Amino acid sequence: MGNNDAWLAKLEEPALEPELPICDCHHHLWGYRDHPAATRYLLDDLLADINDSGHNIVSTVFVDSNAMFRARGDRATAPVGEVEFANGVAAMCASGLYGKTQVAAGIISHADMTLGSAAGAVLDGLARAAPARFRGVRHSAAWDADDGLPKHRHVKAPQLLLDETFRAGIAEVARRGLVYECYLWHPQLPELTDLAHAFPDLTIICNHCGGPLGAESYRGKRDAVMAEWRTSMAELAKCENVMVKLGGVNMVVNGHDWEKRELPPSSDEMVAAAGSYIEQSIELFGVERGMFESNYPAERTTAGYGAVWNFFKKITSSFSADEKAALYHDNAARVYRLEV
Amino acid sequence: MGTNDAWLSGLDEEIIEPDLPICDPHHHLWGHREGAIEPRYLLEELGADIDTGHNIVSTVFVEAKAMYRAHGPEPMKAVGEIEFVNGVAAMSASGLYGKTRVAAGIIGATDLDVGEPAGEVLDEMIAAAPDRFRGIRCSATWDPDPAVRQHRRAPEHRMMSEGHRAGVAELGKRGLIYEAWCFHTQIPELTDLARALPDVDIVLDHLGGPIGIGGAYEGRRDEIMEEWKRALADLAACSNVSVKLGGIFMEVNGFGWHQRPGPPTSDELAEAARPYFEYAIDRFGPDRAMFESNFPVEKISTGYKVLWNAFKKAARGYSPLEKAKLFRDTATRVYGIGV
Repeated sequence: MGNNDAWLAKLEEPALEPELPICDCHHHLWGYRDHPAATRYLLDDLLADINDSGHNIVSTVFVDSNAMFRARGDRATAPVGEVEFANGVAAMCASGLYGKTQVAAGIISHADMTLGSAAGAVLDGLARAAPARFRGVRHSAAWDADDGLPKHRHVKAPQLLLDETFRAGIAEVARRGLVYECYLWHPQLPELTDLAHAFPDLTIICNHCGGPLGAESYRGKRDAVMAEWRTSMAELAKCENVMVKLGGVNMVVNGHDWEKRELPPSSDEMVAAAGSYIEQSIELFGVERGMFESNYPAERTTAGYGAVWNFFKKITSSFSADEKAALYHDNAARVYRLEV
Repeated sequence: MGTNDAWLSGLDEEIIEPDLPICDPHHHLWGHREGAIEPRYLLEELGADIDTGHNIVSTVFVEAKAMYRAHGPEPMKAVGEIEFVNGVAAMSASGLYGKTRVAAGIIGATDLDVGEPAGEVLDEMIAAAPDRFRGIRCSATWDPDPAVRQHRRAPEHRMMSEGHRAGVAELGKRGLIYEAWCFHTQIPELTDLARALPDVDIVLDHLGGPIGIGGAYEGRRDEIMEEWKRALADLAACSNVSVKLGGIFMEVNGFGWHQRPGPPTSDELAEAARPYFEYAIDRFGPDRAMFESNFPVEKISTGYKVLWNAFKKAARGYSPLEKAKLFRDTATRVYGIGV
């Protein structure tokens, strides 16, 4: 049950290529949240979205949701609770009782990189909480001078990625062979490129196509945004250690105003409005360093689960079978070391 | 949603001693269980029972063959249950689901009959819930009478076998608990095991399962009580054994509560169970005895609220210190949990 089920139900799209195996490499789960799309988003809520869509989601990766953090004890290690929780959800799915989808086959949580080298002990605690599934952390950096854009909970100041203490934390991620994920906005992409150069052995996963903004002060500046975004993404893509998650471009901050309409967006409408960001990301990173993601239920505020995957499938309709396998499943399975 | 909710709703009671802190050291959780009183019993369903007014501060999950892995090596499939329950415990520890720390301790299951190789599974279970995994429950229930409901058909004399005891020794090496579910007729076998392995912490479930149904037992409650008492007294002489006070309102105990037109009151339950509780507490002492809900299995006879009222009524004769032990402190010590 979501909060906007009635609105989403106004547009139904049959799944395109319903057999194509998909790893949904980016979604969240939480128990209670003041969120327009889902107050509660637990296993049965996610599975309802997946199963109603008709797409063949064989596995998923759980990502940093600020969920089930421990209420007591050291705040730095509070995310251990999130990893334990996600691992428990994964165990439920591994029982076979909940259908074929292996939810949370890989787990990305959060550790505060501004702890510097002390983040290492936190990472060890997270790994200990899900030894078979923990794969890394996300410490997002999304920040903009425009106060109309949402402030991200983990970002206290601009230029986080350039901070020396923050980078001492990143060094701990790199040392353990874990992946680092980052959600940021397109004006910040050069900072991520700088980070990628500083840690050439670290696998960095750029979330949501590098966050091209379209809301607030970026509204109506699509051409300028795209030009700046393209230049920055081209530089980032030169770093072989960076991968990009293809999706997350239909959120409120992207400025399409889908949530204000009477009907949710169709996949065709999403292709017209945001498809170029996906296409150019694939063009710049190649089919081996991109992977599709639902970004649910964050993206649920603006678009249906099935329509989001149809949006991707329309973009890749002329791709070869191998290219599709890489983008929808194999790249995610490789980088997150998933069995399914 | 329980399948007997309508029947249970025929009775409501005021909470007795609502402030008394309780650790419920025995309950189950599962995703789907056809035919059970609670076909789905996850955190939210348990929470609905817990939130009926008693001051449940923590709980211990006991194995329920829940969320076993569908794939992988056979002995490791039960590790899935530990991962699942550790996740539930994490949800509870977030504070989002109320004050009760659900599954602060976790008791799993593995085949101890295989002896030493059981140690590998135990190590995986420790790794799956390093802060909460506490031991293994063994179902040894066996009776020749087919009318006696078998929890899970165990081999006869399981607790006497060398292989099984080698498995129990693996628990001891790791400081883990051996928890035994057997019928009263089998208590002497557990006593023999407890003497053979004096360094293993042992918990006897459900008062040692006094049987009350089946041709050999029905209508012989007084005789069975004497037999049970003799066996329990011998077991209690083993200082490494604790007892769980509860689990005697199941079908096998033969009171037939579930066949009555309405659910029993806490007075009726306390009256029926008091002789068992008092004798067990007398022999084990409050330091080695703890009340347990055995939910949702026990729900066949009574609701969570009425059940704990029954325990509190049965414990009226004990001092505040003794009650603190019987309702919480013994459980938190035995299971090594902080709340």
